[in-house]
Amino acid sequence: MIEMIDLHKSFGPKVVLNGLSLRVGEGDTVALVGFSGAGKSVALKHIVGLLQPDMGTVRVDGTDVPSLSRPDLYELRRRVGYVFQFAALFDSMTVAENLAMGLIKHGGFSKDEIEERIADSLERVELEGYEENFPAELSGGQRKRAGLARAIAFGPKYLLYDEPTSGLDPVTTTVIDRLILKMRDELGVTSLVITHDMDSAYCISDRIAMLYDGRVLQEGTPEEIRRSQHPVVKGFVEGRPELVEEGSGGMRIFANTPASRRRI
Amino acid sequence: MTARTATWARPFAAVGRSAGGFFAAFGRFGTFFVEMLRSLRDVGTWVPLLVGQMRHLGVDSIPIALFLAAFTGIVLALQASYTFTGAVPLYFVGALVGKTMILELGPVLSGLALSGRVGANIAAELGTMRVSEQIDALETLAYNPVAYLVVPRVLAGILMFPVIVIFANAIGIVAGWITAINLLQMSTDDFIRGLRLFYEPFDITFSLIKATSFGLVVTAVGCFEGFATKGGAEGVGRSTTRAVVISSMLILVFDAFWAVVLLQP
Amino acid sequence: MKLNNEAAVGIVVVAGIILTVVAAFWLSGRPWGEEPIEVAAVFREVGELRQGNPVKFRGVEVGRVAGIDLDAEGEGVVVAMQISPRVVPPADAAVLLAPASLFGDWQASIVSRSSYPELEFTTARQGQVLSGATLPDITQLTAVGARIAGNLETLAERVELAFTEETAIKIRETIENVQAMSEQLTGFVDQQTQTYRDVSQSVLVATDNITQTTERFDRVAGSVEAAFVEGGRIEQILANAERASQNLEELSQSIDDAVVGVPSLIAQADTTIGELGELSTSASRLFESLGPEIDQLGPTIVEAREAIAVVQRAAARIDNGEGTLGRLLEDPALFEETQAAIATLRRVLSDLQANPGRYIGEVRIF
Ligand SMILES: Nc1ncnc2c1ncn2[C@@H]1O[C@H](COP(=O)(O)OP(=O)(O)OP(=O)(O)O)[C@@H](O)[C@H]1O
Ligand SMILES: [Mg+2]
Repeated sequence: MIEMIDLHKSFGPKVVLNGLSLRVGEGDTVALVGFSGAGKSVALKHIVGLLQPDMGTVRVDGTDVPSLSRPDLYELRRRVGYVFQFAALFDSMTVAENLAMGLIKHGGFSKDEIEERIADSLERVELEGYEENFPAELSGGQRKRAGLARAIAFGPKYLLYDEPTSGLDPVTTTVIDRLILKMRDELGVTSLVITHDMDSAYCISDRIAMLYDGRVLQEGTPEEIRRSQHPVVKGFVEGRPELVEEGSGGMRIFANTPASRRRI
Repeated sequence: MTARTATWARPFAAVGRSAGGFFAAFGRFGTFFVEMLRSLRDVGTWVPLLVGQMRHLGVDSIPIALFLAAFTGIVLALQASYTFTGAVPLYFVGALVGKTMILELGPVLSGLALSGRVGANIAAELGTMRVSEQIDALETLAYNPVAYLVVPRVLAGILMFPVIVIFANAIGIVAGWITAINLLQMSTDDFIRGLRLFYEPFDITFSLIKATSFGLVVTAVGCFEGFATKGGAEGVGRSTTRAVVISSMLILVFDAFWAVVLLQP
Repeated sequence: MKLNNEAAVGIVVVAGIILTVVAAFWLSGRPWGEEPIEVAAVFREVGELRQGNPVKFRGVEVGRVAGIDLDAEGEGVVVAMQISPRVVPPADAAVLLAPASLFGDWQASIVSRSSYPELEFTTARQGQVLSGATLPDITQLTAVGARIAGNLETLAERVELAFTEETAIKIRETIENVQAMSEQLTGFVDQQTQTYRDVSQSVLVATDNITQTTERFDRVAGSVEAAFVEGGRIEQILANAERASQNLEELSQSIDDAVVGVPSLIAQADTTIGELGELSTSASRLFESLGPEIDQLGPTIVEAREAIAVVQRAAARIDNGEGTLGRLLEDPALFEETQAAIATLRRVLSDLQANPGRYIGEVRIF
C-alpha cells in the first residue's frame, strides 16, 4: 500500500505539490493524470525517496519513506520498480546489462536465472533480440520499453510507471497496457501509473486520480472520472481547453500556475 | 529590510554573495567527501568496478603523461645546459633534470594533463548521467550511486596517479639523458653522476605523495562537479569546465602546500 | 591481442612498483647484491659534506655518507658511512673530507694517515670511529695558481729592473718563460673550473711545464750570478731568485704529489702561498733598497709596488690562518683588489715587453 499524505514540495519559489494526498491500495492499479508540468513525476519520485517532501509524508507498507535510514531506503527500493519517463537507461551498458543491474542488486538469482529473467522481461515488452544493443542504438520507444523491462525484471512488489506508453504506436501501447494488467492479475503487483492517455487509463486502472494545482482534484473509478461534471476534469478528459479555462476562473490551464501565483 | 540594494553597496553585496557562495560550495564538497568516505563501507558495490576504472583512468592515461614527460625532459636538459654555459660543469644537467622531474614537473605536469583527461572525462560522464536521470535510476535499483560511481573512480585515481607519475619521471629523465648524450656531448657517466649528486631517497616519496594527492583532487573534483550538474547539455559542459579549472587550481595549491609542509628544513 | 582490464592494470602496477624500487636503489648509487658495512669517523668540522655524498677509496667510489651528526660531547662531528665490504682499510686508516669539485659537492676518502703527515687529524675514538681531517675548499687551489703566476711575473720584472742591458736579454727570456708558465697555470686553473675530472691530467702537464720553467729559471739565475759578482745588493736579489726557484720546485713537487692525492696538493698550496708571501716581502724590501729613484720610473712601478703590497697582505692573512682563499673569494673587496693587482702586473709586463728600452735605459742611468 502506498499512501501520499498532504505532500508539499516547492523548487525555490515554484510550488509544485500543494497538499497532495493519494492512496494506492494493495494490489490496485491507480492512474495519475494531469496537465503537463502539473507535478506528476515529482510526486512519483517522493515514493522512492528520490525527492524529500517539504511537508507531509509518503508511506509505503506503513513505513515513513522520508525518515528512512539509507540501508532501509535501499531495502524499500528493492521492492519497487520505477519506470522513468525518459527511460534513464545506463548508456554505457547493453540492454541486457541494464536489466541485470537490478537483478544483481536484488540478490538471490543465479547466473542462469538472471539470463532467463532478462530474456523473459524483454519478451514481455516485445524487445527480444536486443540484448546486446546499447541504448544509443535503440529508438525512443524501444528505449522506453527497455526501461520498463528493467523495472519489471526483478519482480518488484510495487511498480511506478512514469508515462510508460507515451511515444509508442497504438499496437505497442496496447501490448504495454496488457502487460500492466497482467502484472496486477498474475503477480498481484501494486501500481501507480502516470499517463496522458485517457484510453489507457480507463483500460488499466482500478481508480484514476487527477492532479491539478498541486493536489488531487478528483479521484474515482474510471467510470466516475469519465462522467465527471467538474469543468476542469471534463475539459481534461475530453481535451477541451475552453472548459478548463472556465473551470479555473479564467486562469491559464497550466495547473501549477495559480498556486505559484498565490505563494508569491 | 529593503529589497533593493543601494547602488554604492552593490559591489559589496557581490563580494558578500561570492564569499557566501564559496563557503557554501566548500560545505557541499565537504558533505560529498564525507558521503564518499561512508560509501567506502559498501565494499561489494565498488570493488568489482575498481579494476575497470584503474584501467580506464590510469592505464589509458599513461601515453599522454609519458608524451608530456618526454618533451619536458628534453627541454629541461637543453635549458640546463644553456643556463650553465661555461661556469658550471655539464654534469649538473643530470642533477637538474633528475631533481626537477622527480620533485616538480613529473607530478605537476602529469596532474594537470590528467585533470584535463581524467577530471573532464569523469565530470562529463557523471554529469550526463545526472541530467539523463541515470543516477536516479541507480538509486531506484537500490544502488548507492556514490559507492557505485564515485568511490571506484577516486580510488583508481589515488592508486594509479603515483604509478603514472613514476613512469613519467622515468621517461622524463631518460629523455633528458638521451638529449644530453646526443645534443650536449655529455657522457652517460656524467649524466648519471649529476643525477645521483643531490639525490635523496625522500625525493621519490615526495613525488609519490604529491601524485596521490593530485589523484584524489582530480577525481574527487570531477565526481563532485558531475554529481552537481544541472540542466542538460549546457550544464554538462559547465561542470566539465569547472572540474578542469578547479582541479588544476587545487593541484597547484597542493603543490605549494606539500612544498611548504615537507620540503622546509 | 587486447589485454583485459585485470591484466593491463596488473602489469602496469607491478611494473610501476618494480620501477620505483629499482630507481630508488639505483639513484642511491649503492652496489648491487652486497650488504654495505658501516664505518664512522670523527671530524672537527665537515665543511659542505652532506648525506649521500660519495665515499672513495683509492679513487674508487665505494659507498655513501649515511649520516652526519654532532658527537655526544658536542665537540666533533661524527660522519657515518656505508661502504662496500670489499674495502680493506689500511692499518692507520683515516677519513679525509675534501671538495669533489668547485661547486660545493664534497666527498669523503678513506686514506692512510701516514700519507698526510702535514695534516692534523682528529684522534680516533673507541668503537670503530676513525680519525678524520677536513681540507679547505678547492677554490683555493685555483686562486693559488693565479697568484703564483702573478708573483712570478712580479719577481721577473724586478729582476730585470735591477740588471743592465747585457743580462736584460736573458732575463727577458725568463720573463717570456715565466709568462708562458703563468699562462699555462692560468690554463690549468681554467681547466679546473671546466672539469675537475681531468685534474690529474692537467696537473701532469702543468707540472712538466713548471719543472721546465724552473730549470730555465735556474739557468738564468746561474748566468746572472756569473755576470755580476760584485755588490751585496745583487747577492740579495739572487738569493731571492734562488728562493723563488726553490719554491717553484716545491710547488711542482707538490703538484706531482697531487697526481697521487689531490688533497695534499691543496694542503701544500697554502704553504707555498705562505712562502710566496715571504718572497714578495723580500722583493718589496729590494724595492725599498733600490731607493726613491726607482719611483721616478713612472706610475707603472708605483702600481707594481702596490700590487706587491696586496699580495703580501693576502699572504699575511693566510699565515694568520684567517684568510684561506675560500674566504678571500667571500671577501669581494679583497678579491677585486687582488684581481686588479694581477691585472696591473700583467700590464706592467706587457709594457715592459713592448718598450724594453724605456726601463733598461733608466736602470742603466741609475
Ligand atoms: N529538480 C527540479 N528543479 C526545479 N524544478 C523542477 C524540478 N523537477 C521538476 N521541477 C518543476 O516541477 C514542475 C513539475 O514537473 P514534473 O516533471 O513533475 O511535471 P509532470 O507532471 O511530470 O509533467 P509531464 O507530464 O510533462 O512529464 C515543473 O514545472 C518543473 O519545472
Ligand atoms: Mg513527468
